[in-house]
Amino acid sequence: MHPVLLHTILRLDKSAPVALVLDASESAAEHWPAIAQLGAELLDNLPPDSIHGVFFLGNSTNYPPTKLKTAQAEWFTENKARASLITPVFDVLVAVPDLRVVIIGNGRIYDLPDWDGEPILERCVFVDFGQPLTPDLPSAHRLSAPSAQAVLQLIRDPVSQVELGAPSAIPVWWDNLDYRPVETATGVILRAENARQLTVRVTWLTAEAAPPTAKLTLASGKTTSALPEMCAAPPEPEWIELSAEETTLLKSALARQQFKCLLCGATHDWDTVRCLETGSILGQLVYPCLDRIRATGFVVLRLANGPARARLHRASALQLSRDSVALKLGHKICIWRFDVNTGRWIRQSDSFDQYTPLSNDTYAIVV
Amino acid sequence: MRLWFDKTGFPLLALPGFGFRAHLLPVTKLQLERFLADTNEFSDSWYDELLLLNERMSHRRFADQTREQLFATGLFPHEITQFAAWLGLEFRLPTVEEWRALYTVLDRLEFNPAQLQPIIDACPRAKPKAILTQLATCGFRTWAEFTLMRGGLVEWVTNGQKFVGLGCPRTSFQPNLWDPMLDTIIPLSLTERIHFFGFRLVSDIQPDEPAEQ
Repeated sequence: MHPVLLHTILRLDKSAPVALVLDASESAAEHWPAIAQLGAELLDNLPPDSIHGVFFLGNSTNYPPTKLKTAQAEWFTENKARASLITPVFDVLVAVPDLRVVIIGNGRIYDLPDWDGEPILERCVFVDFGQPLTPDLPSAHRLSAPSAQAVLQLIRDPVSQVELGAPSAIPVWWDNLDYRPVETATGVILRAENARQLTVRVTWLTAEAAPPTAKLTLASGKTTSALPEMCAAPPEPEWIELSAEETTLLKSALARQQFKCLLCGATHDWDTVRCLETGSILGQLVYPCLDRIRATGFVVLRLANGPARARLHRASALQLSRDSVALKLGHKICIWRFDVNTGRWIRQSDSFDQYTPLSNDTYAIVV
Repeated sequence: MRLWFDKTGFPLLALPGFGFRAHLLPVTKLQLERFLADTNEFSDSWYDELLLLNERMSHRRFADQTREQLFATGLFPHEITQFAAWLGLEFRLPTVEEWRALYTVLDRLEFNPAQLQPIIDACPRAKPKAILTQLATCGFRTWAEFTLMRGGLVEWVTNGQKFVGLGCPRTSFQPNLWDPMLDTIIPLSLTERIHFFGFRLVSDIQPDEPAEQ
């Protein structure tokens, strides 16, 4: 089967939400400064968009996390000597999917056994300062006077690496530049490490009907997988119209003829894309319209009737034909071709010719 | 039989010809804890006093042998008055006459768990449903037993201006030879908590007031 285009999206945006439940009851009163301090440290180290809220035992009110440091004394007074009951809080939190809960306090929580066996309890960490919160539930996750890091390790296990690919698939476009193409023994994958954002749309040229699976490595070293969803094709970038002089330049290049540079006036070889005579250390693109928009990577040029047009291709790979792809790996551009016998992508050559034809009237350059 | 639910989701019933509705069961610790959370007027040390006398049992875990631990016991009458006010201004302790009138009817009614199903189905909250369902498996013979007016707690009632107790707990919980139709139990002290004293509340039915069920 010949490869076809497949448009996918892998959603790995948000960290699991976390709620803090603080204990201002009698048994916790002498430990309040430590409770508030640990709560504040946890909030400082959690992604802001993951913090679901701050609660107190016995109280269903969701307090604004950003105010814990400044308002802790006032909140303690409001909740001082509340009964150590978790149900008012869990009744609010039970509907939040995938929520982690950190309960920081001291002394028994009376109604915890009422939640025994409920999924929310599995996602709770109970932090005490000497007197367990969970004497009636020995199986609960309990920490005694821990550091914030120790608590964070229990509740967060973020994704540190994503690898996305399959032997029969090669990426030809993606929208998250934290993902880079990597050559492996079986072909090309996309890899992101410690990226800020992990969600990515990818267009694959693939012989499989199903999207390539993502392998996720978590900070703890555990691995898991995720399956991207199919999605609509990305919108095509706008074409930029070249000037008459740039169109003439393009025609010369396509005819493999030297041309007079629009920047320095000198004659350059047909495959020159960057003029080094302008005084700029990196040179300037011989097509001034592309230089103005700081084009990098692949550029597709179309020469039909009228002025020529150009379009940027903001990815490190470009589909050249129905079974070949140009891929920038490091500083090299390699050509990969699909082998129908093995069903895999094979690296065919390590050189890319400027003005490689893509179709009758479109050509690719790399700048 | 007419059915209502208090704001904690626990059922109250009124029998034909009765001008008041009464909690089907004595007030549970679940209801008391809701009161504690809502009002923030009682602390852990207060609740610990009660639990020292009659330890808490989760509605998920109780069995016939431990059923008394579901219920709120050891409260003083003035604390019950605060609870009743929170539940609704119309709620109060029953009088001796009201309690005995209810007991007389229920002690003659044979209990069939199938009769309870419509009440369970109508419960708006999961925890009362769970408690009623589990209690229905305890092999009660009469409605007085199921409602724990017999074999449950001694319940606070009013006798004029005084507070006394009525009930006949099972001997494994509190040894006794009390007949609630004959004996009122008068605590030796109103300042010492009593582990086998619980309560249920009643409220008067207004004329033409519709029942929920």
